[in-house]
Amino acid sequence: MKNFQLVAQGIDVGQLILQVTRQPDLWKSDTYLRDYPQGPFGDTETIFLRFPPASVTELERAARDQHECVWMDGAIHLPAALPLIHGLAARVQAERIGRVMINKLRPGGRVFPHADTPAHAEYYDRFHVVLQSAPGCNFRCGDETIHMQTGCVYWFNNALEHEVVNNSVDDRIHMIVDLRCWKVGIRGATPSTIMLDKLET
Amino acid sequence: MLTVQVERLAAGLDELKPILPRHYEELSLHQFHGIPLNPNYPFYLAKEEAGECIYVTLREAGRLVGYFVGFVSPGLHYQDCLTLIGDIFYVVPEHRGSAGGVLLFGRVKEEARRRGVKAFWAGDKVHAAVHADRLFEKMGFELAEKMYCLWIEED
Repeated sequence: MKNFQLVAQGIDVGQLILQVTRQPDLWKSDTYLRDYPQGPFGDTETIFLRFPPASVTELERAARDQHECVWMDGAIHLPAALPLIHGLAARVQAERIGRVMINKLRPGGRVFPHADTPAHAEYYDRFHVVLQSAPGCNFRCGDETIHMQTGCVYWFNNALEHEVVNNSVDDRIHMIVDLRCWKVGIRGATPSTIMLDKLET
Repeated sequence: MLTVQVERLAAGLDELKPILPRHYEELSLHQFHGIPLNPNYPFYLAKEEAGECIYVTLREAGRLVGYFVGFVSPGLHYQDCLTLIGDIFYVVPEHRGSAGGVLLFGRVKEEARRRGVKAFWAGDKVHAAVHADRLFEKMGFELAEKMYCLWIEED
């Protein structure tokens, strides 16, 4: 697999999925993604935990960082999400937390094929923490398709075209976490060469 | 909506077991010789643990409506030829005629190709009321071998 990577498994998501289940009104409080014109998320409901405070255009006009995200009401209502988010950030040595959303895709529903905005996909890595998923729910990215299992965390390459078909018996509920992971730009050099270059300069 | 997916046999075995008797009644030759269905499940699971099993399912709204089980290994006579040998495949009767077989075998081919399989062998029972010849032809198979069976105790 080149478009997906299992990052963790056996994660206890029980507390968070219970908090989600007990507060069904949270799915209705913000329908931004579902209502996005000609967007791929018509079958999806979303709880926003962390998101940009304004649109990219508005942030750029105000000379603010388009990648800045702030905590939303969803995070207040779902405190069990926070240790999962911060735990994942520590695990992958992230230096910044971007968007965090919990998406629910109904049985028979689809996330239609799309690729995420190049600037966003380049800046952040996207992770899926699987809160609930049953056999028959398939995630395609590029030319690879997998079933993401409950309690697992996956990275995937959201710069490529991807889609989801939920042909299972139940809602597919994933917490999507964008993290800026530490990376070194290597251009044909070994890491030790890079360190030597840094010392010499 | 029908979807096909590669799954772990160990995770899906309990779901598969109730369908096997239907499969046996419809297609088994052994039943005519008084031999009951009695799969060697530990063998299948051991093959999967060894990375030698492909299990592909056909589902509708999460329900299992078809499956393929096969074994991948270097050929016994041709070690350089990674070979997939189909063990069982089945699509429940109520989902035949809706391209379920094509979907199923298409996914198996895709997974076999991904794993570097060079030769894929599959067959069906001569006595069966429903044959998979057209499916095999459509998927690009060629008739390659005839297998015979002798029931020794009855000979």
